[in-house]
Parts: sequence; C-alpha cells; structure tokens
Amino acid sequence: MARFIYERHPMKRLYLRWGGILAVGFLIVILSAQRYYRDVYSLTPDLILSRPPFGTVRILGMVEAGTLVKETPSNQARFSLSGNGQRIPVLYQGNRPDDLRELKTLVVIGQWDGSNRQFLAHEMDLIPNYGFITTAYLIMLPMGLFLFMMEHRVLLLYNKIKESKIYEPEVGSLDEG
Amino acid sequence: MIRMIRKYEDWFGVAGGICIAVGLYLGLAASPPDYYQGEVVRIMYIHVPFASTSMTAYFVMTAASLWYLWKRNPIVDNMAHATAGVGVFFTAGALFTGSIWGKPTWNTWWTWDARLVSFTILLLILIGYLMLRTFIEDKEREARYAAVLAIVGAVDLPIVHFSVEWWRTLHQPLSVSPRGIAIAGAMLFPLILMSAGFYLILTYMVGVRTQMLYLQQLLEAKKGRLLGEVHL
Amino acid sequence: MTKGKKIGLIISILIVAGGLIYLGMGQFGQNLVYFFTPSEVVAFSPDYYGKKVRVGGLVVQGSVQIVPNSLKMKFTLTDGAAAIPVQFEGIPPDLFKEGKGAVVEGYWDAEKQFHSNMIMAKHSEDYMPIQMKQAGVQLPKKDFLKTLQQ
Repeated sequence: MARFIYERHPMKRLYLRWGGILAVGFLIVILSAQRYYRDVYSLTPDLILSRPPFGTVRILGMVEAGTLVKETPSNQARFSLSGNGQRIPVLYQGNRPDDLRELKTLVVIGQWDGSNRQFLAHEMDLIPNYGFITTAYLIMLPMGLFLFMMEHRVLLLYNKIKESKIYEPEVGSLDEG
Repeated sequence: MIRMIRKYEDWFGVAGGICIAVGLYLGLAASPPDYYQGEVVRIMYIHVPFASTSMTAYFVMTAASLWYLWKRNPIVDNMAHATAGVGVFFTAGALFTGSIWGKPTWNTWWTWDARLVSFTILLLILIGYLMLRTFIEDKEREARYAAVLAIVGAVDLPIVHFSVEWWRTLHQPLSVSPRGIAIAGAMLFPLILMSAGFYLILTYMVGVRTQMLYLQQLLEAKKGRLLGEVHL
Repeated sequence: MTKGKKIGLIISILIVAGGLIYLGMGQFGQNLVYFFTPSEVVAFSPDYYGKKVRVGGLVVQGSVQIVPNSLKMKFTLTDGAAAIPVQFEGIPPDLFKEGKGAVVEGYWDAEKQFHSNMIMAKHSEDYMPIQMKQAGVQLPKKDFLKTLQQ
C-alpha cells in the first residue's frame, strides 16, 4: 500500500513527508519548552512580593545601582534586585560573587524568607535570553517553506512535462532514470 | 546527471533531516549552557552551520562555474545557478542568526568589522549573480557571464574565513583552527550534528533546485518547439 | 534586450563591482583597523583628541569602580603594554566583566582620559559548561592580548 502511494501519487507522498517533518518539529518545540520551564523559567521581583513562593525559585532582575555591598571575608553580598517596578533585598552567599555587578541583569536562585522579607540566594545564573534564541531558530520555518516550495515545483514540472504529449521519448527516459 | 540526482537525493534529505532533528533537540534542550554566555550560546548551533554551509555553497558554485567554462555542460550551469539560489538563503540565514546572537553578547546587532562586512559582500555578490542571470536573455551568454562573475567573486571566500585571524575584529577568532578545538565535547557534539545535517540538507536542496531549473528549461524549450510547429 | 532588462543588468553588475571595490580598498581598508589598542591611544597625536574612535582591550581585574547612584563607572583597559582609564556612562552589556575583552566607543581627550557611553563585549572563542570552567579546564584558544595586536 505504501509502495502504491509512493509510486502513483507523488504529490500525496510529498504532503505526507512534510506532515511528518512538521510533527517532528512540533515534538522538538515541546521538548525545548519543557526544558525551559524545568530549568530556566524565572519569576520577577513583583511576583515574589505579591505572591510569596515556597521552595527554591529563580528570580530575574537587575542589580540596583548603588546597592551592592560585598563582604569579602564571609564571601557574602547584599544588594537589591529590581524588576517590573518592584525591588527585593537579596542576600547572596555562593560561588562567583565577583560576577555580581551593579546594573547587571541576572538570575538569582534561592528561597524567599518571608519573616525577614529578603531573598536568600545560593546561586546565580546569567540572563537566559530565550527570546533571542527562539527568534534565531525561527529561521527554520522559512527554510522549510523554501524547500517545500522547491519540491512542490519539481513535481508540478514533471507532471507538466508528462502532459505535453509531443516529446514522449524524452519523458520516458526521464521516468526510467 | 539528473538521473543520478534523482536516484540519490532522497538519501541526503533523509539523513540531513535526522541529523538536524537530533541536533536541534541536543542543541536546544540537552546541551549545557556556556560558562560565560549562558543559554544564548545555543544560537551557535544554528549560526555556525549556516555560515559554514553558505561558504561551502559558494565554493561549490565556483567549482561548478569553472567546470562549466571548461566542459560547457548546461546541467553543470544549472547546478551553479541552483547553488547560488540556495546559497543566498543560507548566507542571509547566517547574517540573521549572527545579528541575533550579537545583540545579547556583543551589545550590538551590527558593526563594521571585517568579518561582518566581508560576509555581507558575499551576500551582495550572490544577489548580483542571481540578478545578472535574470537580466540576460541568451541562455548561453547568461551562463558564461554568470560563471565568470562567480569565479571573480570567489576572492571574498578566503577573506571571510581568515578575516578574524588577520585583522582586529569584534567577532571572535576561529574556534576550530590549527590551535585545536576550543569547544567542549558536550557542546561540540550538537554542533557537529547540526553542521553535518546542514551539509546534507544543502546537498539535497541543491539537488532539488538543479532539477527544478533543468525542468524549467526543458519545458521552455518544448514550448518553444511547440510554438515553432504551430507557426510552421 | 529591452530597456528595463538593460538597466537591471547594469544595476546587478554595479552591485557586485561596488562590493568588490569596497572590499579592495576605501571603507574596508579603514575598517581593517576596527579598533585601536590602548598603546596606540596613548600615543595619539592631539589631532585625535575629541574624535570618535573605538578602543579594544582587556578590562583590568579589580579596576571597575562604580559611582554610586548614577550610571557612571570607571575602569582600565589594557593591551598588555599600555593601559588607559575609561570613564563610562550608561548601561554596560551583561557580558561586560573584569578580566574579559571589551571594545569601547568614545573619544580620548587632552587629560588622557577616554570617555565613552557605548561598550561592546568581545567574547573569546572557547565554549564550555560552567562545571568544566570551575574545574580549571583550558581549551586551546588564541591568547586574547594577541588578538589585539594584529
């Protein structure tokens, strides 16, 4: 049956193939989105204040100018993180404190301490920039479209050449090849 | 030649599709972020394959043009023409993804450094090549002029490749060079898969487009002969 | 050949020829020096004072000083041989970091200060996961200061 479709209906075969490609593309999008929500998704300071979270969360914000105080012996740093018009105080204790800089947008990972109203961060991460990554990969869409149009046109041209009856021998030689 | 393309093109297409699918999954979801750039390094897995395939496409186009001038086989000219059409897409893709990578890392979409300028000239040469081909009516002359243009334009290829090593640029130097490979294994693997996939897909796309151009010409020739018969 | 086609042909040839000429000389020749190094800036003649130029170098470890409650900061840019003080006002890119490369746009003045409000981060060509970096792995890359000397 598959072989029948393959040989008798090249157009159907084209659509089937591209349907498969779309399905695989969709699967990759889902897997990437899943990973994003698992590992990279972050909250903003205003969300922390309006709905204090439980457990370990990631917060994306900018280190406010003039608020960063590094305590060298204890390897701690205090600063306030702003985003969406709100700011929260952060106590950072972890690796790479020299990566902290005022006016830098970054992600801090830790827990919200509701009683002292401050965020206890034990790790930080760079801004994920997922918008840029998605935009860059969107180019796969026009690329697929471009290839689809070419394949489609090749099939149409073969059909047209078959339809013009006058040069039968040429067509025959094309088909055998 | 056309028979050969028809016989083997599907293998390239399927293999390329599988490599890209696995490469995309690894690049977007399974590979680790970079120590300095973070997540945005994932753009590398699409930018580098685009850039390297577009340069290879130009190289193939030059080789096909030389072959055409030597043997005057029209299908080889179709192939050079097809490579230019696909190459324009890949070159523009490399510039587009590069620009998007540049904003979060360098802090600029575009800058006049030697790598970016020489690469944009490559795109202009390809656009000029395709325009030249549409504006000459005589097929034989069109093919000849275009071939010469492609060969002259090839001087840009080494300039693009070595610009980051020869001159001061904002663009970083080559990661894969005689110095060694400066990409960790976990990030190199998706990059290799994506590159392999892009090379296979490039081959497939050139195959499809060569057929398209050949069939178009065949059909035009037939129509010409049909019209001729009507007039007789 | 129709008139329209002839014009199109001329335009296409002009595009390619223009590109190649640009490549051979003119603008491109100047852009081969995309940025100056601190050594060159230090040796600038007074003609260059106040002119917009780019300078590339390594941000000296420990040199970044932020002026509180402003968008101003100071740091030192070096190429290994000379170092220049940079006064910056604005928001630096997130990848701007001590011990890493940067290209700054601005002007050099008679007080031997560089004033800038645009920083571009120049990242190196090595890529690795953070765990590897913390383990101290060094990948074979070009020495950063050498990339400034070409």
